[in-house]
Amino acid sequence: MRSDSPIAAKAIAWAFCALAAVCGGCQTAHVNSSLTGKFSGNDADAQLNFWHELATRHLTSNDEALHGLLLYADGRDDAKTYDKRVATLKSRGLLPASFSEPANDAVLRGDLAVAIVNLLGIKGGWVMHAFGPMPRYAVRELVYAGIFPPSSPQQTFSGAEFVGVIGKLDDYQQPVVASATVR
Amino acid sequence: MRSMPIHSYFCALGLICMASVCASSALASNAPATGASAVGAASQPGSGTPMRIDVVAVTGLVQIRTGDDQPWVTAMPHMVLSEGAELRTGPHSSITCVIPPDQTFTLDRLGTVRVQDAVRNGNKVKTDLIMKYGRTHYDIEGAGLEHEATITSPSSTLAVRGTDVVLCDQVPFTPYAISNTGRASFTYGHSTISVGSKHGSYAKASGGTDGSAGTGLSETVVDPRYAASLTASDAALLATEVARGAVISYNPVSGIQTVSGGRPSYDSELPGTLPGTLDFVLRWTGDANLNLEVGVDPGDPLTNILNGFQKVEFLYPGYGLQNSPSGGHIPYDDIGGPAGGEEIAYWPGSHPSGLYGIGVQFITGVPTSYTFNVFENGQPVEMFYFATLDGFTQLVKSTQQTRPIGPGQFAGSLVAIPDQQLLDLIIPDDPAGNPNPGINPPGVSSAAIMPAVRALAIGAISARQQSATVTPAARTH
Repeated sequence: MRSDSPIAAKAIAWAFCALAAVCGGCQTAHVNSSLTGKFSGNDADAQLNFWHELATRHLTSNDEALHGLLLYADGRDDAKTYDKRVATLKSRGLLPASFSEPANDAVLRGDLAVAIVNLLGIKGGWVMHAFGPMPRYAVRELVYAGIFPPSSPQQTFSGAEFVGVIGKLDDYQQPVVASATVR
Repeated sequence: MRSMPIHSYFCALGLICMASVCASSALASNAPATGASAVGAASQPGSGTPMRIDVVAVTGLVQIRTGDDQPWVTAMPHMVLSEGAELRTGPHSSITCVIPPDQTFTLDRLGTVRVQDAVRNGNKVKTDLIMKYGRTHYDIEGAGLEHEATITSPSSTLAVRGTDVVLCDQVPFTPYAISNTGRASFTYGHSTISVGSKHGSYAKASGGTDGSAGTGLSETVVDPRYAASLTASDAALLATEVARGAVISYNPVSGIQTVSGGRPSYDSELPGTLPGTLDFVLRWTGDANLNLEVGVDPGDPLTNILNGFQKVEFLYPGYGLQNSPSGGHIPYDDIGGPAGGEEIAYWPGSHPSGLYGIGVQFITGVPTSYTFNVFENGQPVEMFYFATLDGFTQLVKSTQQTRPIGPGQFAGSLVAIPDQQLLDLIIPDDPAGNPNPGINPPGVSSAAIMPAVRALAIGAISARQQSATVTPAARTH
């Protein structure tokens, strides 16, 4: 039987398509152009441009999420590169030592939840007490606190959703201000 | 028995079929409305005198611009703005502006607002704020002027007349409106609700709810891990599940107790475990996770059939849908086990008359059979659904419905409360039986009990032989 018959060629083509679909479907979404390069400064203009430009983006990358987290926590981000941001957050115990996600991958809710739980000092239930913050339980704690929407740790955030979560984080940390505004 | 005119029979049958299909589709497509209406195009500036906008307080990072083509500048107190001005804030920031003489608005953390209209025409003041996202607090003192003020966001609109309100719209969270004093009109999706009352105090309404009461109910948190937080009915139901080998836990995402393992009630046990005056029971026997859904169309059941099933209330295990405004309640989400599971929805006190839809949704697991039962005041109620009768698919009735269900499938039935004799007369019984075969304990076969009987018999014989060999002298001792 000839191996280059039309049926064999079709089968091979279908197999490649299936393989490509499976491999492509398993990939994490990528963010092509990060805002951290465009708005990396600490001045008011750069910070506000970063937040409000991010709110129009379809995805939030790891780099943007960590930059946003540093801006939120410190009001400034002196790290000029993604590696330095990761190192800064690791040195402060906000990110686990094993964190090694690429800069341009879409941020996972579980990874972000671990950083936020560490930032807020949320102790959680017995699992988090025993094993420390893990993505699965960190997400659950933040859902319970109203900071995250009902989520799974594998989901990602759009730019507007990330800005919304940071807003909720603000409300959680400044309940007096939030209450004064709301009431 | 009086015979029914044949044309009215088919007429009623047709209407019920239509209502049944409506009920199924209404229950199956239960995704909450997300209010996808976009912000309308910028309206033309008002025809009155433009009003000045004074910046009175700034905290943190705040910028303003006077038009789309203008650069952003840092906001400072005592700046004066006008119609078309846009404001944006960063984290931990806020800006408060006054529109003299009596309006104040505050945009706080991470939001952006445009003052689309701020005009005065005689004694009438029209203000329109367009908020892309964030949270805006709006306060109108109502000093003798007629106000027409709105805050518009991508998915909602808050109309304000002389009150103190807050609108928050920020994905991925549901928008909400708060009235601290006075009444405002909150539009989300296709529905408009009033928030607060004229001389009332704090009231909050979330998008997708029917008002402040519904929002309050959905936000009530009672930690169900503690026995004292359970009602007596729920505690009894959960105790029954535990007695059958189930494990109880709490799902913080869906916000409801979950039951795993155990087994469903048998037909003979079911009437004794009903907690309410109206009970909807779903049972299944396979290793699967099924969810019970109940939709309510209150009113006269026959009228509702004529008008088509309208899902006014909805019950689902978790996600804030386990309680309905009329008192319906689902105490737990049974996620199944090797022997199946059971879920129940009930009304503990009075329950509304009307047309009810009962549905089952296949979540995970292997194909299984499910059984529906409905009881009103402890009495079984007829359910109406489609089945094959004489080679044709027809609407039939039964007080116990048993059917197979597989992955991705949904099934449902209609129930009239109170029971309608007219429908019971014209709709034939399910050919599989009325009631359908339900769930019963595994039969005890003679082969299974034979070894035990034999052992007992041998024991009795040997005991008799022993007593026969004991001497009379030994007996006396």
